Amino acid sequence: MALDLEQFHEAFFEEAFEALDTMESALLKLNIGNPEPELVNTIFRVAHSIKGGSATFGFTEVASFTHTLETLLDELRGGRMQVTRGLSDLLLKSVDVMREMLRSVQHKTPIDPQRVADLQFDLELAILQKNQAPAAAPELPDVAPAPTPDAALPTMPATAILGQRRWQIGFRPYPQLLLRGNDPLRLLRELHELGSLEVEVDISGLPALSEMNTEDCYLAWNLVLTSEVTRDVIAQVFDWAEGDCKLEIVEIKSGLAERTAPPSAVVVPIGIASAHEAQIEVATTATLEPAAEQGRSQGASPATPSPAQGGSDSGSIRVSTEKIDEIMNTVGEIVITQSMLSQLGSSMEGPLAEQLRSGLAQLERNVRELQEGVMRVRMLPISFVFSRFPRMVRDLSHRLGKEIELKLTGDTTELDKTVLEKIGDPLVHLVRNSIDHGIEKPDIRRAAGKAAAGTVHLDAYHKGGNITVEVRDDGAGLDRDRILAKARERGLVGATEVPDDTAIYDLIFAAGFSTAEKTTDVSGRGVGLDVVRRNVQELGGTIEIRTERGKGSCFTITLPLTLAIVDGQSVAVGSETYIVPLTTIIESMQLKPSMVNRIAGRGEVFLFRDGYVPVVRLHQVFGVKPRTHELHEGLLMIVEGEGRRVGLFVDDLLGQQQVVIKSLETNYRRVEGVSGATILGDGSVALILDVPGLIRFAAERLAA
Amino acid sequence: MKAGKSPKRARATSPPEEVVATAQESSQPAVPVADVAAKQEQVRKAVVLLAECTVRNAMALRTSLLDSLDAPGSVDVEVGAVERVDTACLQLLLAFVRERSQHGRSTAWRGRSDVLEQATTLLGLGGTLAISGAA
Repeated sequence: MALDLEQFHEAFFEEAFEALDTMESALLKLNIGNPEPELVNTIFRVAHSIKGGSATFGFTEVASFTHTLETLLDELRGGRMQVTRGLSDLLLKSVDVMREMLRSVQHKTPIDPQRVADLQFDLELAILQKNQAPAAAPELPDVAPAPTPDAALPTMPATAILGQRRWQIGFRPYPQLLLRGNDPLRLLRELHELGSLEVEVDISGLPALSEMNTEDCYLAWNLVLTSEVTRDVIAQVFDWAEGDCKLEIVEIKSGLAERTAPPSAVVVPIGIASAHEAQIEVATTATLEPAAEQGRSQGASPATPSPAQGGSDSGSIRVSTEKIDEIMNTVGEIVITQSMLSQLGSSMEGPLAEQLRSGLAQLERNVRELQEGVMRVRMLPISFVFSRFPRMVRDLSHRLGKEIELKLTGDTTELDKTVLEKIGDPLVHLVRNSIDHGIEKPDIRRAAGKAAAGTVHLDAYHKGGNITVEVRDDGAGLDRDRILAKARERGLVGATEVPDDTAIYDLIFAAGFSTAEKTTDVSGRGVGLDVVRRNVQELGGTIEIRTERGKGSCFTITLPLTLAIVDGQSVAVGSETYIVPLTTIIESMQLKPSMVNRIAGRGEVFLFRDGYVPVVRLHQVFGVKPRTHELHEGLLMIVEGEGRRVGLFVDDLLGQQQVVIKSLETNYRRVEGVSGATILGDGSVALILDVPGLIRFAAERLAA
Repeated sequence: MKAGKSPKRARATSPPEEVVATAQESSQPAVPVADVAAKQEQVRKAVVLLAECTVRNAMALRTSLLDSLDAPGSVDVEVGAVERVDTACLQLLLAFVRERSQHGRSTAWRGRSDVLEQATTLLGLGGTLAISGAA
């Protein structure tokens, strides 16, 4: 069986993209003029890992580019270069280019060589210019692509030079090292680049040819590296081999080469104390990725035992979303079966019935826990989306000549991965919108008595069964009159009609609506907010806007935590059962005939708390035969969606239950006022009401 | 700029089944006496290394090495074509050379490959494999 490296590509791309995100956010945090060493190290490590990975997989363009970048970063790290605004821009551009290159390689599309070459040239130039020390003649930087096999091997003097350290490196690959795409040859070549390398190979593990498995590594090495590098740098060479080899890095303290000397005190936190030899991990505690915060620890700390095989991710494993979806689906089926059993159990009688019911109650609890557990697996912090904004705001404010401070709060709030993936673009639109239309230029702000720098605030929090994301700015706010004038001009609002403020602000979500005087490449083309609303609605969410002229605007997106399951109240209308999502329900009540008013042409309304609420007769909407037509004989369920309330007239309330949403669009077609369907305990199908849609739908029907 | 390099540059140029260029004539009888010396030179077992001498083709290499392992006299390993090599293949060659020398049989390198020489040196196999002395 030949080793197919392609099987590792996806994992590599995923990790590389995450690493680039890390790099980008570290770059954005970097202080101009006085960079924090840890951040510089983080950035360097990312470049280094990507270089190593791309070299392993033969992505030479990426490896070559990253090598140049790494050279520059090494200069930064060594304090030989200063972090300037220009350099920071250059590095951010490099992140973009690397991302594009990786994407091209991933999708097997061509890379734009000119763009890469230009940027690589800029990087080389930056290295070159900074290296021009007054006393020394400028030297060309070493920009040779390190990983190509035919790269010349520079020879370094073997004798220790002042400032150089001698490192004894014990490198004993586990058999699977090659299978993981790590070639000792590449690792040793990288070490060789760091300084003078003495190599002693141990071939005692090499079996007879006939017994060899071509994908196992049988060799081991004792190396002595003479170089000025630190232990971290050496450990980084082995980043990708972590978990697939035993590594010891010991500084040889005396000038004498003593390979057999006992390890000095510098070293080596190795794996787990109780582990047998094969489990000892690469000692790279210092190379812990910052991504560890996100539960993806790359390193092995002494406290976290990890399995012998590839235990690099000690705290987490990578699972494809398909697998989780399968589990989710199965759990959904269990929920249905369980509710079927519950229904059956409730009608049982006899001595064993009570026992059965208590067993079923236990089952219900367990299933709920299971369901919540699986859902938690799918949950990711919204920081995955938020993390793209610092860069975006920085670039946009730069381009528009505005000063903008971005505040992110609640970025650990978790929501379902599917929701997360789909909310990114709408949020980008809103933030762009805030920056372009909301925040004023510094002089205007000062004239209005505001701070020159505007603030865009993204906030996420849980509220009920929903997640709320707010995009707030302290800019100019919406211009009510201008929107109204524009709407009249476009015939969206009658010349004499005076809608209330909410309705006016709602107009900005109309397709093609823009009050921007000129279209910029940022926004103003009138595509955007309507798409934002559509996307949010497709997710079963709502979007609201609050604004105050001169003070700013706030867009509030409310989304369900998950798209897979909903807590619902089942209601009966005639012979049909409908599910109303619990989060939309305010109250259920029985009306007295005197409470209902009939408005000519507008249907029925009734007084609820501090206002009149229209009645929506579900049987009319869905065309079913109800048990009763008299409002006081049935029940009214007051529901809310997009800030509007209606009273749903139903025959009866049946009970609350968690239901698994089955897409109606996938299995049938889209139906207005219905967000999906579910299978009830008795096997019948119930429609899940899309309350905001139903309110709109009912409003149209009533208006018609 | 280096960015223009094609990633496919070092891909294998021939399929794995061409790895072995073993001469089969050795078992053929009735060779004219006068040609014996010349023929003996011809029927020496030879293993030809591919351009892509890496783990992808390691299984084929192992098969061809095993085929020549017990060949009497000297076996030639033709290295001239090698453009890319990795540890997986080098350790196969190492096992081959070691095992033959344990049985008093020699192995000779034919051709020259800088890539291979650098790799053996880097891995500390220069002494054992001694490819740099290849003819």
